[in-house]
Amino acid sequence: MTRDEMAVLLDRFLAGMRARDVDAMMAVLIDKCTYESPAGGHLKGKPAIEAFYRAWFDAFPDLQLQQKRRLQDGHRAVVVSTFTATHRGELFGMPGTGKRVTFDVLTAVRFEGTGIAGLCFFYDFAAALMKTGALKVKPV
Amino acid sequence: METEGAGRCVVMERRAIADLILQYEAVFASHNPKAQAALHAEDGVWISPAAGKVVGRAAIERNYRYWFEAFPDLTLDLEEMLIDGDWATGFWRMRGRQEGPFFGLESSGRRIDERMAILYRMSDGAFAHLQPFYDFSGVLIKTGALKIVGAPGKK
Repeated sequence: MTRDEMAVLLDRFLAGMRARDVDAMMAVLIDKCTYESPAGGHLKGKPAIEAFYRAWFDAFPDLQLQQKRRLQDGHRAVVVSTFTATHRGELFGMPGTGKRVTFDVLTAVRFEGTGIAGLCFFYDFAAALMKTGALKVKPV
Repeated sequence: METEGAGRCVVMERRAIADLILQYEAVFASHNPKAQAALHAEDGVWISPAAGKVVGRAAIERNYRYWFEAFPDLTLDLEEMLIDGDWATGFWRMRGRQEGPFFGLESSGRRIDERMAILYRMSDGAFAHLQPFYDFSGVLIKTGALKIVGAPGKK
């Protein structure tokens, strides 16, 4: 795959995410794709990743993802984005709160063969849970 | 994306960028805040989930000192790096035991073990922009600086 071909695949994946179109997202993943995030844990294979995204979009049906920067190096890429959404559906057992959540996220992407083979997300997950109210904390 | 510290824009060779990131790891092991800060541009910016926007080498040095005092055995191990132009990302594993003051907490003796990504922009042989991405609030909870109250979803 060329650099441009990888960029196109990544564009399609991110466009699918912005449109909450899970089928479009899955279309660019290889079957044995792996996924890792604080929210989803470690997932292997498209069915597990698809199930996670359907639940994620149910929880955040107005999800927006604004790309701020992209890096590509060989068969890898990094995307830095701002995630913004309203917590409308169940999230870790907690019904929607209507609270807005915004955080920056860095996504590491690995390409293999004809598609995306790995996705790994880095962000302040506990802070996101606090914003939704799914996690309540107090300082010492 | 904020890119302060971009007064000058001297593109670095790929090898030089990789060497700077490797040097960052080596210097980190010495827990010398001044030496660590010296790898940053004089007007460099550190976008920190812990401290917010930290501008300038002196402030960056204070930030390193805070972490080294809070976690006297803190280690940062590079797992992978990715370079594109004068931007790069390092993928790291951060481990340490909280033994010094940390967000209102004295010594908890609790260990942290976090994977993180750090986004860098290089300029003129130094870090002009550094931005870590990791579960910082999770670190606060693991050390005990934040305490969970009630079960998820309960008032």
